[in-house]
Amino acid sequence: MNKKDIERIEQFLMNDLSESDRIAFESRLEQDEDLAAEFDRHETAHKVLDFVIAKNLKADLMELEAESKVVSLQSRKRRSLRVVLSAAASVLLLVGFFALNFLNPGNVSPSELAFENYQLRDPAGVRSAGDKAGYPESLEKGLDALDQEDYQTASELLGSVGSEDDYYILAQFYLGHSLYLNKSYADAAVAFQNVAASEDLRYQAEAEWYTLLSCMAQDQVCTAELEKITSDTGHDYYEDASEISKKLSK
Amino acid sequence: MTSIILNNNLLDLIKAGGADRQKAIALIYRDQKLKNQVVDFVKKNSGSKEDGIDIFHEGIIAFDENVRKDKYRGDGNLKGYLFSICRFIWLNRLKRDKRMVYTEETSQLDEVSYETPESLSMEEEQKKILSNLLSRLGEKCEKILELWKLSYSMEEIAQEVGLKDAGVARRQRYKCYQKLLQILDNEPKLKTLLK
Repeated sequence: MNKKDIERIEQFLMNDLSESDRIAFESRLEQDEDLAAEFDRHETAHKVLDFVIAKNLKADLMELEAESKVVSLQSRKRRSLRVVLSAAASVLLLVGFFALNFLNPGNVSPSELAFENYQLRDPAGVRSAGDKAGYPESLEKGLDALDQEDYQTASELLGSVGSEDDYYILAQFYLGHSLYLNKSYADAAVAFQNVAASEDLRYQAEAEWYTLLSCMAQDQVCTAELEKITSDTGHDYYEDASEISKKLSK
Repeated sequence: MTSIILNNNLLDLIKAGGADRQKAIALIYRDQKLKNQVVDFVKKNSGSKEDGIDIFHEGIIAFDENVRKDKYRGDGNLKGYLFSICRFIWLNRLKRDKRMVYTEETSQLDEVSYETPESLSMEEEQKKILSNLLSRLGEKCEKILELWKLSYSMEEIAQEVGLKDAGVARRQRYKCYQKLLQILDNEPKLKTLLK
């Protein structure tokens, strides 16, 4: 096989031929057995390389998937740091670990499931809406702080919106998120409970879902919160909660 | 939230290969709306959330290959195309695993067909054989050939793999490719496996 033909095969397999050259090459392949045999060898090699590319891309995507669970990872890293710094905390963690395994032999802890499922959603399109005119200043600035991932400031500002304010429920909803992202899970649960109790249909399903996640993030099993959703087949988060329930009972 | 708007730019970036391709894939990957759409579809059709994420990954892999091989040239809506690939892969998997439930969705299987990479339909045993072959090729050769196939320039390959310059990368690429051909010549079974 001459060098030129080998180059042609490579150009064909690398998709580097013009339409007319491609057609001409395909026609030669049908007529020239030696060329077809050599083409087969190279085509198989390229299929192996396609396999390598797909395999490595899959690994990259799984890595991206893991990165997207930033909340989970960051939280675990920070927790690890605290463990190193405090022997007492280590003991508590160990106790917690065994207790957790006892409660949940499937080895998936409630907090892991919470981190896996948590995602800041924007049901009313509030944060992406350009026009926040009419919002009290603390709500507007609180949402900006949340967008800038300054959760401490966001929590303070959103928490300062009074219950008499028209935007109180909205502020509480995002306060819950700010607290959750700031790892204050118990306080986050309270804020989400406030929203759920208001029975404002715009946020209720989300609030019940995030109440559950805030509870689980504290490594609790949260049966009542879970049942509230799994007992209602029409709930927006029925499927997600049922899946959690299944995993916890494994 | 990222939105896939500039279809042609994304396709160009994927075809350009190298870091541009990686950026484009990351951009597509971060389209949360599309990802949720795929996960929701899988969950509504006998799958779990994990299955949905897996199918989203496989859809991106198929999409990447189809763009690189010019099998998709940007006709129609990119997001719709990617979702259709994911749907096709999932319905085929249900069919393969004999978990198929006849619905309006599954009835479309016979009407629409998308080219998907062979690696996606390979059995674990086949993947093992290929991985074994690649271990004989060596990590460095595998990397050089992968980058070459992804249209990286010789300069970029040299930089990525830690070779002195483009000239060395070119010679190494040739040697590695010959080595791969040789391994394949000695394994005629592999040809059948990859048919």
